[in-house]
Amino acid sequence: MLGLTGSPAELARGVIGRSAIIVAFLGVALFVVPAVLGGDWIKTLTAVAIYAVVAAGLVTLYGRVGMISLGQIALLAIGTWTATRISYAADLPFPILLLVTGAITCGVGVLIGLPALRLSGLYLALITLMAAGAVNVVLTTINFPNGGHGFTGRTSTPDLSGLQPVGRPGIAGGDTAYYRYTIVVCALMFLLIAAHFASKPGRAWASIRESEPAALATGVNIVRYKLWAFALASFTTGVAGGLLAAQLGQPTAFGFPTQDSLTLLAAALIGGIYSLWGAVIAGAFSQLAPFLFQAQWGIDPNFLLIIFGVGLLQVLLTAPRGIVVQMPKDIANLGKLGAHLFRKVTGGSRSPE
Amino acid sequence: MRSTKIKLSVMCAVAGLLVLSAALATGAGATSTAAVGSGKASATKSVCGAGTGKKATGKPIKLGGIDMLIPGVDFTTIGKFAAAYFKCVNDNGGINGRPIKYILYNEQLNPTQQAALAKKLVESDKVVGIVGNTSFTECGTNWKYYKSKGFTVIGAGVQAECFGTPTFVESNMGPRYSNIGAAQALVRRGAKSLMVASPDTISAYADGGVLKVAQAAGIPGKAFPIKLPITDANSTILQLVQAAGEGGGVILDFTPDSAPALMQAAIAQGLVDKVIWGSSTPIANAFMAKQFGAFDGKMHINQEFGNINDGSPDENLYLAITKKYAPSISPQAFGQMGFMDAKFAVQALLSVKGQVTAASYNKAVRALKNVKTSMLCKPWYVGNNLAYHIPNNTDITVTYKAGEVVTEDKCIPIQAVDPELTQTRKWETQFNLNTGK
Amino acid sequence: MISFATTTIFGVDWIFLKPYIVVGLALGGVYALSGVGVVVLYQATGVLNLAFGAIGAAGALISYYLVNHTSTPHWIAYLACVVFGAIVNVVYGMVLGPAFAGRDPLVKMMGTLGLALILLGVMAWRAPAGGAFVRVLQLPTSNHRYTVFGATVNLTQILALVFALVLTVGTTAFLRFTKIGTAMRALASDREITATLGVPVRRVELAAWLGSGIVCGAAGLLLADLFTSLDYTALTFLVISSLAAALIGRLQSLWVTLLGGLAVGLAQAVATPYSSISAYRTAAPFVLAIIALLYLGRHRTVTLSRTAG
Repeated sequence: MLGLTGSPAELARGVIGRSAIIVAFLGVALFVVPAVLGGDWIKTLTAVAIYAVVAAGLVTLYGRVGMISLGQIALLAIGTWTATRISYAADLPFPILLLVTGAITCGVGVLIGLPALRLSGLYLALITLMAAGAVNVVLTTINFPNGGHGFTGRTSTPDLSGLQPVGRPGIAGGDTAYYRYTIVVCALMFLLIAAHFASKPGRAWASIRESEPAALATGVNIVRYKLWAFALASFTTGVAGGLLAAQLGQPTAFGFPTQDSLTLLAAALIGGIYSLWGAVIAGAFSQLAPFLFQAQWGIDPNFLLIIFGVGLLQVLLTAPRGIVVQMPKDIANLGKLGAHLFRKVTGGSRSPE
Repeated sequence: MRSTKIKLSVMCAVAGLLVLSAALATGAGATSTAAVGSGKASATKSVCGAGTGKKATGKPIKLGGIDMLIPGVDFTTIGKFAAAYFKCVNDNGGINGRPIKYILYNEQLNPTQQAALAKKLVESDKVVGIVGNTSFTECGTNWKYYKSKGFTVIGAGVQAECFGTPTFVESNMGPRYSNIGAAQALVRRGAKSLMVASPDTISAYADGGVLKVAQAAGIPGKAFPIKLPITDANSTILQLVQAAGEGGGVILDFTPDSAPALMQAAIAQGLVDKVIWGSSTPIANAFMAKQFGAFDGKMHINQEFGNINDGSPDENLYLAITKKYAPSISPQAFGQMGFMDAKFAVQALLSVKGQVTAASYNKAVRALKNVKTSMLCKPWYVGNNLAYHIPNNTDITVTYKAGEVVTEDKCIPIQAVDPELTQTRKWETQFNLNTGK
Repeated sequence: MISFATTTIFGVDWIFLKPYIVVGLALGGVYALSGVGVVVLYQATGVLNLAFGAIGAAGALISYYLVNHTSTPHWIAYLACVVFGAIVNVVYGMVLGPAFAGRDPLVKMMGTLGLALILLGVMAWRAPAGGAFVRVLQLPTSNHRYTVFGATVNLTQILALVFALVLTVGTTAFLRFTKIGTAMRALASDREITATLGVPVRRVELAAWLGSGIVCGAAGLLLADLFTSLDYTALTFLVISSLAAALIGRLQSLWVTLLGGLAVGLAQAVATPYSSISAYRTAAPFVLAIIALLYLGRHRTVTLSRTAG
């Protein structure tokens, strides 16, 4: 990922090459897609970007540090809830709302992470799942704010027609404009995470994942860096939650079932848990695939569950680095095979195999 | 090599599972060939559309619908029955010779997906109207979008927004008013208290009316939001009965997915005779009646529509359509909702003079009033641009008896404990919406 | 507080509280059974089986079809559920187990998640939930009822408790005192080394997966009855709540898992009449698991992670 081998010229070319790909991707996302695809696609792709950020949190925690969190959807729900509550209580500019939401979710994430850090591996994963289950119970009980007063902001007699949903930023009220705004914010979140990977925290995380005793021996403060990873993942997920709140307008507790944490992790593993591009694929799997199946191809959405399961098994067994690494390899292999066949066909008669 | 072997094994295992499960599949029934829905409409006979008996072959008119489909709750039955009704209409001359093409999508409670599907129907598929929508949350997600496009949606609702916004008009009355009806039935039978239990995600809306009925009757009332799926039915039912006290009333507001656990627990704990039981509509069907003979005459269910077997014209047509076009849909309230949604949509389409466009169709929908159907106590209506629509606000009480659903109280108006109901009844007389003339 | 004038505990009359204790123990039996089943498999194969609920639900669905749509004698239909559980477990364990052998327990767990998703997808596709009906699989033992402390329990609930107890006692003894049991524990700990010791690895694995598959099927049958409606989604994700009991036992001690499951059921039921916390009582499994894990994990540990991937 860091590509630290090679001459300075090669390094520079590598970095420029990767940046070019990213810029091209963003360009297509921002300008080509809205021009070509309809409103239904735009709404779906906005959600893809948001869930990609959540998956990026998983990439950070598991891919980089080796900690599994099965509660990312619960954190997303907390972020969405916080943004909704704040937007009913005060009239903040949208970027500030996102930052505040991210900060609060970061605090919650660290609060959950701190005692959990003593555990490792399976226990850490399971305790995050338990925390997610508890959060889900609380969320379905207190529900989402709908204009009422008090901490929960919930009234049993909401003013339906006059209800102000979570407000979008002034410059991005419409769906397409909000889609672009979301892409930009999500790209910033990815940039934040990538910057971490490329600097000191990233190296500390890599050493922790390899071997904690060795990391300790080289003077890495394990607790601090693990917490930092939790904080980063929670912050970015919180910001994603804020974006989701404004995308939905009036969120409900139905949108965040506990099992979604498991399926998002499955999607991230399939996409590629060691790479941020894998997070993008994970977002597409979890949000775009149901739309494609249902609205575009007319296939029973339950098939998707089956495909998910098979894909997960496949990935775990044969391609642990996920689609993002496997697909280029497979395409390259396919290309080599094609070239080989082409040569055989045109290269005259050799002795048959 | 090893990885290939593994891939193969995985695929084989999956294929084996699928084959095994295919063996479990229930087959589709045979269809009959009688001419359904044809003839002349009269006081004793209902027909599909114009009833000509001739297939419509013109350019299709497109209608769309979005129904919720999650593992455990399947509202697509409503859309599927509407589709069956439309097929009947298409076999009877369609709309002035044009068949109806119905596009039905399902959603999984993902608001982004709901919004995207609505956009797809209106902007990509270019339907002239939306019919048959039912979901826990779609009304809330999409009502503003539909309004901005001038669409008035005929559906069946659960959420407050389905009965509180100008965009949606429902053939049913929803859990809040159905619970009020059940509460009235219990008060009529001398209940000394009113306890009501609903899924926690809709409890605030669904249970509020019952508390008002209790207050008006001067008896204690309490709402119990219940988390689904129900894992501790015994505790829940104990709690409800203890809170109600001897001779009190307990109203259950659950679908057949969850209600059996509670009712079974009541039977097991010997609590059936301790309180007076009531319920909203979803458990009023023959299957539940057969399962729960222990509740015969003791469970007073508020039913938003008529009994399927009462021999009235629309119910007969319903059964005939089921037999020919939807044999796999067992007779149930969801089917009735689909029937009515489609019937009202067809009525609107037939009343359009000139080109059928989104504008003209939805205008015709809004103009609907005094639409008679033997499935409802009073004629149905939309009433133009009212702030909200609650056209179904008078219904019956039923109970189980020997494996069947039988009527106990006929056509009682829902108690006007909500200002919206009072206002709705004022509108009905003011604009002559359902007086039948 | 606890007052003796009218015997109230924190404001709720003892008369009203009594039945919840009985109900809670019955509910605890459910959690204990699934929890012990999960830990048994983990002890024997090192795999935390997230598909536990899904396999049981699928088996129960098959039994339902056999009972309601064919003229198979009921006891054969119930047996089919158990056999199905055994078959699926054995196929998964024997075909995919070795491939997962050297991997992180987390990865092994995610593999079973894949299986759970496949099963859930197949069930939802082929046996869609109806609008007006619900599938009910009632075991004949549910008709026998007994009144205890003002509440009623039926024979199925007692069976679930007894089954959990027998499983705990039996498996603990089996794993500790028999040769195969010791081989299983060694296998779960490190497959490579165990193989070099001359232990017939494949046969021992087969025994482990077969045993836990039978437990899975039997538990599925009991749970489908105890939940009244065959809601396969609920049954599949019941595994999350049962993990709470397993976690209280730290995935190690079957006895603590059993008692933990009972404690969780008790806590959830007894919280019901207390209106201030009643709405949150379904969080009882999660809260108790978190407390147990944090308390038990209070000694700092440093991990040697397996190589990634």
